[in-house]
Amino acid sequence: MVWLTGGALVLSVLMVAGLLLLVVTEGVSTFWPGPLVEVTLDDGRVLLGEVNRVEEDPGSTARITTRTMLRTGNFDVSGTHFTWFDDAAVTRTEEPEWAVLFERNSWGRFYGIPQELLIDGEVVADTPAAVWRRFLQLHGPCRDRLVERRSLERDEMGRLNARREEARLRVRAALLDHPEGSLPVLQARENQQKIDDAADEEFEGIAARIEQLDTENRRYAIRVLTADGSGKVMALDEIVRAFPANRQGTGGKLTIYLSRAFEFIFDEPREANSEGGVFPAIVGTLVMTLIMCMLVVPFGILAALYLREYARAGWAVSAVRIAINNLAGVPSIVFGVFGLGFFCYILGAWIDGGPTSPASAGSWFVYLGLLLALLGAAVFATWHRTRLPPARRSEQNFLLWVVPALWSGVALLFVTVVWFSPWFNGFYRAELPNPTFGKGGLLWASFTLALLTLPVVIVATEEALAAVPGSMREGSYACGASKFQTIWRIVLPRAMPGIMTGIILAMARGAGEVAPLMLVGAVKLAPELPVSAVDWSGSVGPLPTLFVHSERSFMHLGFHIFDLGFQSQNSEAAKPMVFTTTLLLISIVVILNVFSIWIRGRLRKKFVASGGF
Amino acid sequence: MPDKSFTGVERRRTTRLSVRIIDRVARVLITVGGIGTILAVLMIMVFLIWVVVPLFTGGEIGEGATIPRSNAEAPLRMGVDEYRIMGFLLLRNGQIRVYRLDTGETIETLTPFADTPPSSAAMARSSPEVAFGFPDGSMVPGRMEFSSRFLDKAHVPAEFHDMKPGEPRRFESGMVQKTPEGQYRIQTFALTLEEDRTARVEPPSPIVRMDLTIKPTGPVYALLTEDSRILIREATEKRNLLTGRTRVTWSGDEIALNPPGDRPLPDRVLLSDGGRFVYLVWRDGFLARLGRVEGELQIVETVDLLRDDDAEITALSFITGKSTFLVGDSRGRVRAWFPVRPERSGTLDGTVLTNAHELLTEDGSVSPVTAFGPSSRARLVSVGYADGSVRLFHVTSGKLVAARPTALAQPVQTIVITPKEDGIVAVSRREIATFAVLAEHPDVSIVSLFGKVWYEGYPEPENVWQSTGGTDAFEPKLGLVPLIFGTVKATLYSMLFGLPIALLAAIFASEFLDPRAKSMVKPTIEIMASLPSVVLGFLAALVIAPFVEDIVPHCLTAFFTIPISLMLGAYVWQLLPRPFAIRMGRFRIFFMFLCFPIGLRAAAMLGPVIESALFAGDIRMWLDGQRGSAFGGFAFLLFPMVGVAMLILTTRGLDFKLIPMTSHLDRVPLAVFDLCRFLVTLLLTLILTALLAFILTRAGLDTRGAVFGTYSQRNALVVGFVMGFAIIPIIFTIAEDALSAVPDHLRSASLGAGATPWQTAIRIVVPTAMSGLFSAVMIGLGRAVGETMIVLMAAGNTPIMDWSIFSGFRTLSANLAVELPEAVRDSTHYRTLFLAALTLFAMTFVVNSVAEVVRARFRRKAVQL
Repeated sequence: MVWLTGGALVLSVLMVAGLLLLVVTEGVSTFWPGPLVEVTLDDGRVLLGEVNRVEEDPGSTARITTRTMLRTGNFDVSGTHFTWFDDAAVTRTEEPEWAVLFERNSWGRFYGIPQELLIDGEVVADTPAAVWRRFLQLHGPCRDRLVERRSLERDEMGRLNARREEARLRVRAALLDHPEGSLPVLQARENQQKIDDAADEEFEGIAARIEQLDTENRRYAIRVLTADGSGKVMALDEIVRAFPANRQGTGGKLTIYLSRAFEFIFDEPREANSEGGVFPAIVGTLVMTLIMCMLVVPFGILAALYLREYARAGWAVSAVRIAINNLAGVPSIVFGVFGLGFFCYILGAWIDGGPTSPASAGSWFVYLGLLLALLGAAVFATWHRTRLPPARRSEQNFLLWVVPALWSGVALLFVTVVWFSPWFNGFYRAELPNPTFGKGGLLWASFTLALLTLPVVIVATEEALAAVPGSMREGSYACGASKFQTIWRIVLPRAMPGIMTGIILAMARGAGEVAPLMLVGAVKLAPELPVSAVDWSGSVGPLPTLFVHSERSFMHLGFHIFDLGFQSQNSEAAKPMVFTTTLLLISIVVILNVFSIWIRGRLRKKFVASGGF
Repeated sequence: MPDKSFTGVERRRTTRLSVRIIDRVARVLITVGGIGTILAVLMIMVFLIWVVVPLFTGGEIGEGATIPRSNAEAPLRMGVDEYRIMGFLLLRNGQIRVYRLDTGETIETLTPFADTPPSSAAMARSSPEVAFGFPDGSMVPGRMEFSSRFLDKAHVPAEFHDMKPGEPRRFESGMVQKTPEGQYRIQTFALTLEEDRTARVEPPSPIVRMDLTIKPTGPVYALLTEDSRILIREATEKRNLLTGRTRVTWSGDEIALNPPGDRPLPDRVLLSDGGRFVYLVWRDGFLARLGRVEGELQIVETVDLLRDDDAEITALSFITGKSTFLVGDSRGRVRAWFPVRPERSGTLDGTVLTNAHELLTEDGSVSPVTAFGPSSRARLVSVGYADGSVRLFHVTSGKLVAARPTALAQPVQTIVITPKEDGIVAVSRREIATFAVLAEHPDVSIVSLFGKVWYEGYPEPENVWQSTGGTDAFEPKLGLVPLIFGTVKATLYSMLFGLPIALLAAIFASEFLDPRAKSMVKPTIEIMASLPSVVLGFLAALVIAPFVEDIVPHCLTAFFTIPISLMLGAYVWQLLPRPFAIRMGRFRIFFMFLCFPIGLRAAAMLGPVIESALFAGDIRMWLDGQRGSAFGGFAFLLFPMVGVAMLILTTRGLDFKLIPMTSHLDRVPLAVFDLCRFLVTLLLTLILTALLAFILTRAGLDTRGAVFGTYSQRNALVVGFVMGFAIIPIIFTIAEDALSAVPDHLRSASLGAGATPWQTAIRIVVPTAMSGLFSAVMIGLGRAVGETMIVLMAAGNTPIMDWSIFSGFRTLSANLAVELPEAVRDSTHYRTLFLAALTLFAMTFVVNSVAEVVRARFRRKAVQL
């Protein structure tokens, strides 16, 4: 029996190790360029590509029962990315020296032997070696031009369109409050006209530059001979990366590996996310986790401080404690449901367009008056209580209930007054019916995850506070420190390691959580990053300010994995990317976890070293 | 100012004002922030309930606005426009009156057949097609509809400029309303007769009854002539893509009707969806269903709709989709019938008309049903009664949504629901009354969510979750039971796999593992807890599921070979010489590692053997039930149970006999003896299993359809295994903490009293830590219940109810992730999904609360020790 229990432990360890090993090996090897194989089959077909995998073919009756999946690419020519063939049918296998792998902007990879290099349609090189030499010279500038063109198209034109959109919205906003023909509307229209004119002018300049770049790039093309003997002419700027895989030494392969890894981390995805990088997803995850931290840390610590230091211990506090412990175990998707229903559809809709059924002006003033009266009463009651001598016990007890009741009344009325205000029409009324905050976005995702991780932080902080011995507090009081001084200077520093651990664990949980994000704003492909560099003069300056577009949808590493692995059309080609993304996500989460363990140990040591306790 | 303290000693120093202010401010801030945060977190449940509650609030029929009516004749049909400002009545003589709903003023009167009034008329439900039959045997199709167009302010006469938004006014031959956007909506009624598409009955005979229904290719008409012939006329419209002209070809069928039992002509003719069946209904409740058998139109079934009652049918109507029809009788009962295709039927075409629902009045009133007004969007129907009362029912759920007992003074002649389901218009001899209706979620009740519901076309009531469908007539089926079932199934299978491993591993780690090894093993397993579940889900779906699919028998075999190889390992270990075994004791775990490759290798070797021996050579086909007998399944299931029983028998059961025999033996012979005993046990288990399985198979039982079933790639086996990754570390950590917290003096005492370490662990440590272990299990359970990404990616997401380990399922959480982004805000679907979230919340809340309470008890107990 002992062996059975040991076996269970070993199995658990093996499961973790196996899983990590699988992810690490698959993830790390993704970018390593393999050899290109040319296979001739007995039916005369010739295939060129990278071996994807070899497996046992259950239906085969031949002597060699394995079959191979070759990544043959050339989707635009052949209509398929992968080809299966029976190993028994292979008549010849070789690794052609000049077989080149082209990674392209679209249509996936292309495998072939470069035949001719064309400039303005004229052949300037016609042997693979010569073509390759010229290709290396010309490809870099072509890519640079393409990058410039893209940046013009997206950044510059995007900026113009954003300005136009803003002017158009201003007109709409003016029309909502004023009739057609009135001064504000006319002003807005005039402004729109001016901006449109300026934008048109600028637009022409950019379009001319783009055209110029395009014309230059159109001059260069390469003709590639595929394995089955057909040729294909590709423009040079289409090609992201190309290399004759079989001619690469280890150094060359390493360069390609690093180049791919660099692209993975710092570039944007292409090919429906199955190629390219995950930079937007990294940024999205990072920004969301940071905002979440900014929300969860102060509130989590406040709540824990209140529960542990200020609240009177009693059944109410222990009930709250149990409830919070419980919430830590509530499924994350439930938080997502709440986030969607409350943050997006109610709070967001309110921010966009104001209350759906505002109070009439008269009743609103009644409420306002009531609020002020209640506020006065609450302030008076609180003041009165502090002045009351301890001897008047019954009055004290009465006020003990009345004061919190009054203050909650004030809070409730305040929310009502703000919520139903007839004077508030929403900040983004002009954009309606397109929601701005009334849909999933970065802010709401952070809020949702903050709620999700709040119990974790509260529980961890509370435990850390409870671990601070009462004698230390008493000592502090005895020295004449006030309660807050004691908390600030004695309790919090001592509890810091525990609090930090809680926060880091919350971050790890927040970074790895996907289910609620599916509901509140993570998308498979966000057109724009949720942060942008903004200089208030309107152009991107040398020292840009980071501006967080908290209403934008964003990409997230975890959601990226889900989307790639589960909803991708070309899931076989996407698989290596999923593994690499998984590796990245796991590393982040594991590093955070290990970091939390380390920081706990370090801070503990520090306290021990300083001889504090 | 110095304060006086209790002791009468005066304070000599004053607290600085800044300190006092900061203290106050901090106190207020922390209190407000703390309470606010806690409230915000607790708000979640309140909010979920707040969204769900409107599902269960009933409907309401508001106060009526009544206008007098000049003509007392019962209209054939009535219609109301989308904005509830106009209506029309089609009278028996072919006259059509269009009038305002608010004042009753007649806008226009159309008399399209002034000289020859039609002998019958029919009108489609959710499209504007009508058809009139004439005494000369001709049938004229047409369209009758409200249409609206929008005008700008500039194109509207000046007298309308001061209209308030929403206020209706006469305009030309229709009505005008100003929209909130400032446009003018003109609403008119038009009847267009398509005389060029007139069809004729040959030889001519008056058309006395008719019905029509719309197929995607064109309308179908069913005609009954006075000389007792049934004619089906189907128009097939083909649009010429080049000329844009539509060509109509007519096809049809005709049979002479010989009503059973010398009956007169039927009182009603109904044509069901797509012209599938023609129902001929007589007033006394007799129904004949005409259908096609081998292309031939004939009577295929006769039914007594009232079941040998002396009551009479007083109202009859299809509801949306034209598959279900409602029968109202003179005793105030409303019954819904629809055709189903049961496995066995006594009819010619395999279809049976079934009475699925009976819609009962709230007070048992028996006033005859006089009119049905079905909605064109949902299975909602307004019913008018002879006592002037009006009720609103939902057919599928059988729910009485709202009732208004004295809506009209006279019997209701005709009733309609407005197109947007926001009002009812009822007509009696003297008046036309409009009622506002509030029925947001008429189809939902506790019973429909958590019980079996008889949906249209289903042979019997079932639990179904199917929220979206292809056609307009599709009815969302929102039964939560399949989803709860899926959640329970996922939890069960993952706990079945994860629980023993986690608990056993915790016992080993706390009781037997070298402390240094433990300090490495524990964080490793804890890191497993922090793995994002999306990663696990992705691995399950893309790596493990395809892998397992190829080697199902191997995987199943591994469940036995690995424990057996471990046990063999234990016996072999005992064979080792004692000094060596003691010296190597610390590295025992590495030898355990070795057992895994051995077990896996054995599984790989035995897998194909077992597949051919037990599962007829191909486990997939065996699972499909295509080949093989039930023997294999039973053998597989019984093996572990019999094994455990035998093991207990040969050790505990025989110990009293064996111990005296073996106590004098030396270590190595004893170990050999033990090994032999184990092998004998194994052999006995195999024999007994085979015997039992044989008996059970002979008894005609089969595991397929229960624990085993058709294989699907994403199944409970894969989910159970991968979910293990999620729950093992949680259970392990908490359980290990609980076991380690058992004070050492208990262990020492037990060991000192002569117990072996294993006896100490099982009889002393585990019972002491029991409540901690229990709480660990509960928390693991809570995690399994709510896990989303793994099941979303690896469970296939088909909401079926099937315990088979090889079939997929859909859990509450995965369903939320899939459907909530598409649900329309505040729709029934949306609120039902919130109810699913609330259910999930409640399930985990209960589980966690139990764990919390138990843990608190454990803590108290631990303090006592």
